[in-house]
Amino acid sequence: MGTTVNKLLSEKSIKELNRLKGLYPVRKSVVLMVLHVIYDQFGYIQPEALKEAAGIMEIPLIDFHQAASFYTMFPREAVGKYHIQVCRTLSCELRGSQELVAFLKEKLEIDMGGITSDSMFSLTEVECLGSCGTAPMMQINDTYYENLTRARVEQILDDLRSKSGNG
Amino acid sequence: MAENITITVDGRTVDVPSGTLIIEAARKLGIEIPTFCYDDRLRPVGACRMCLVEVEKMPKLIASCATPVAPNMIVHTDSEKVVKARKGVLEFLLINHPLDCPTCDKGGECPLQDNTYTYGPAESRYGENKIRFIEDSKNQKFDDIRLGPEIFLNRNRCIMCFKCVRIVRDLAGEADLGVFQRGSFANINVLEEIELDDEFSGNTVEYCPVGALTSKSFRYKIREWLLKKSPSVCNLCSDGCNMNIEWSRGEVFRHMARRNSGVDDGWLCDRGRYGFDLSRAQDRLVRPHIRRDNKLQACSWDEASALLSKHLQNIIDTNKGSEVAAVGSPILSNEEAFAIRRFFSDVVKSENVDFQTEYPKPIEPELLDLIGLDGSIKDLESDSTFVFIGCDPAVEHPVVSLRIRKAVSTYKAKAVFISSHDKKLGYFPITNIRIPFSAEAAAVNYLVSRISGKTTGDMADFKIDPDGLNRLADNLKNAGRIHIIAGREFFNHPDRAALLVGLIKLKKSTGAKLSILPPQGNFIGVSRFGLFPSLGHSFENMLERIESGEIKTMFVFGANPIDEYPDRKYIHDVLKNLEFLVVVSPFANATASLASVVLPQAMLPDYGGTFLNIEHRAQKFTPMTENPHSDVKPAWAILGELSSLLDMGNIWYSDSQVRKVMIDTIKEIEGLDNLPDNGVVIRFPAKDGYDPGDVSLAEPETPGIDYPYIMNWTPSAHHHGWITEKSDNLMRISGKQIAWMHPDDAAREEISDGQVLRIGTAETALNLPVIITTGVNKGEILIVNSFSANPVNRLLKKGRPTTFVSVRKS
Repeated sequence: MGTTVNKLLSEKSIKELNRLKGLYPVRKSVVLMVLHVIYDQFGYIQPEALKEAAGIMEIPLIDFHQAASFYTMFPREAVGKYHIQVCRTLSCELRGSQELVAFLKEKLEIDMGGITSDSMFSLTEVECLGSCGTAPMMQINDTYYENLTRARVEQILDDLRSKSGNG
Repeated sequence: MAENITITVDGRTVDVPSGTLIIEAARKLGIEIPTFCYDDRLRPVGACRMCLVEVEKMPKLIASCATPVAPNMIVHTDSEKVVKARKGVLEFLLINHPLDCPTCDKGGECPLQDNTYTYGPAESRYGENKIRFIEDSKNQKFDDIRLGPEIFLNRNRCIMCFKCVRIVRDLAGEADLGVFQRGSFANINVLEEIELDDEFSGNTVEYCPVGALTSKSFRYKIREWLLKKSPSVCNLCSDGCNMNIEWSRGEVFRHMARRNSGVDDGWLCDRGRYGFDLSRAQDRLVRPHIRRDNKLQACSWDEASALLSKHLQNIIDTNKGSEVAAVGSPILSNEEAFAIRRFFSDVVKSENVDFQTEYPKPIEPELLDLIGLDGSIKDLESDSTFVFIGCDPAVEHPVVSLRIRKAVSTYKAKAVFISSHDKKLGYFPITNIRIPFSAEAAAVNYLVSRISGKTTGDMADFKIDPDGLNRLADNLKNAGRIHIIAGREFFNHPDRAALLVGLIKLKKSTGAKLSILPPQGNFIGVSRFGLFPSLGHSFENMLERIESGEIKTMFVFGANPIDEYPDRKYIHDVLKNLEFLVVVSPFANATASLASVVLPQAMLPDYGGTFLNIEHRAQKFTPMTENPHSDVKPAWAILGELSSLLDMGNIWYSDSQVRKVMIDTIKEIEGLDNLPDNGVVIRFPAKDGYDPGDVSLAEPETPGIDYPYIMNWTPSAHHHGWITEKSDNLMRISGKQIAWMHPDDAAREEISDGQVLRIGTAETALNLPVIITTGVNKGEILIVNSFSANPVNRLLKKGRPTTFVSVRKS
């Protein structure tokens, strides 16, 4: 068996993986932590990077894919620079999340699960994010945006666009 | 020892060891609790919930397959609550099940079908759409996905019992199969570009409790209830796994496991399972042929027998028995081997019999007592350290290797491989100690010296890195039950005598068990029942006598020396010198094409008989009762008829009749008369205290400048020897013939992965694609053998198991 060359994983990720390696008495328990490392670097579960990570951890690749496919919050395909997750659970739904979704689709010209051609935005629906008091709401990357209206959503998108100097 | 616990099941009490699962305790009383996911050989998961039972004082129903017994437990397996729960479980399991029994292969032998009829609701209340997995491929929609060359999966029928995943992961130790997603969308699959093609993949199909997993070679061919079953024993390796040959109108459709907990424990490897198509292979010989006008032409048995008896009569009349030689093979049954020896020594008056067509040097007679497994197959599970020398159990003894895998994975035994290339037991942790090619004898001697505290010789001559051996020696000093196992490479080893001495010393200095395991089918049976050359010439000597004209007639039974003998050109030239060559074989082959007479031989499942496996267990196999090949005969029938034509007695009509004569002759084998289903282990008296004395090690050979690589070869798990190449199924599974080389060598020769190489000696060469890996030594080319397009024995020279080669881009 040849040793795989690590091409995609950053030094920081590799360092973290090596740190994790010795932490768990049952080796397989580390799977979820490894998925987080990949997610943190790429924003999604990059399959080639996962292969490299599996090699470092000496755990069969399939174990990572099994876990990643179980959890909905590990995107398995590339997401935009800004990954929009709109809550669709009861409170948000009652307060009009579907209208917001329709508006986002129209505005970004993408479908649910899609990504804009400039890879700036991607759109997905998620279950309750625990912010029912401020429904409807969405999460973009790690930030909550609450009490949304069409106007506010438009403002948020414009702000994010201009922030990345792509106006 | 574990204490016994008494529990009550359905009003009856039973005493079981603590730790026993409720389902097993009930079984002991003859109470069958329905289940899908439980298998006593696999780790319980409690996934299907079919085995729910009521235990008094427990608030909820519990899964009897995952709950161990506790003192004074009172279990009800048929209470109102349980009956209702089972109905509910089945209704849930069937929610997304397509109920396509009329087109499903499992229909008739399906636990889901059976349990639904017995325990389930007659109607479903579920009116919504079923979830359906559909594979879109080449603009067509399929319910089935391909997992590997033999295995297909219909995820809609799957009830998520995880049996297949557990078989692949926990039993074989492969990481090919997994569970993806969750809830109703949970499904079994392989990763992209991964094939489910390990040695045991067929077991997933056999033990699938629904029709989700199917075999390419069986699906849509026939209904289960139309099949007849002939209990049989596989002879594609020497493990002797029990199986049922399932057939209809003389055509074999599949092999299924027939559980013998002492041998196979109900598993079959893919070689044994999918090799069922051998009996109707394209190259199958079904009629006698005789050479006329220098061409082999089909003829009747009468013509062929008349020709043979005339020839033999002449030999008998002129008293020239010593000019005749007979060669058998490990594919023969015990009865065939015995009949051949009897016929040639009684009728023809020749003692020239042998079966060792594969080895560069014949086996020493003293070695016979050492060949075979030390202890039973089951005992392997309780050994704590395995040392493999020249043995690759995953390839040579797949099903027996499951015991070793279990010892390693469950009981934390250590497995150490001393070899020139890496070996593995699935993903279970093992240690590879790499030594140069054919340095096994030196390595073993080094171990012995190190363990007994004597000064160790200098390893520099043999280029052995002593670190791994030192660690092993230290471990062996305080290891528990040590088992040293030598295998195929031992028999082909260039310095076999010295290696044997080393192994015996190692056994003595560590108190270990020592097993020398021949890989081929009935090796032990044919060597014990007559074909070992105790009085006449060995095969090697026969060839020399043919060259010198002393042997003029040769009978070959089941063997194919041209493909087997380690010097193809030499054996071909020698056999051409024969005046009369008779080949009795189930298949047309390279040797048969030189013959004067070719006779069609019976093979499994045309005839009945017995085999001996590696633990000397005699096991019976039975024929199909309808056979389209009416002209094929086992060796004893052919020789019996010849005897009768020659008026010489020894007329055999049936295998049991031959067995009676055998029992009269050899007293250790009384048990052979009335063999129980699980066979009988035969104890041959061993000559005690065989001490081969000291043998000095052969000097290691160094390659020359022009041919700098040493050539080594290995069989593959699915394909071993010339016979398995006749099976379309096995050739589909086994993949292509390849060679491996070390990255440093590849870099020097400027060769890249996958390139076709010309691997050659001064005279001839093979052309093979190469895989570059650190799993082989520098300076070694490792080739997968047994493909007739590129036979390894074309490169070999008489008397030597290996050769030096050059490589270049083809």
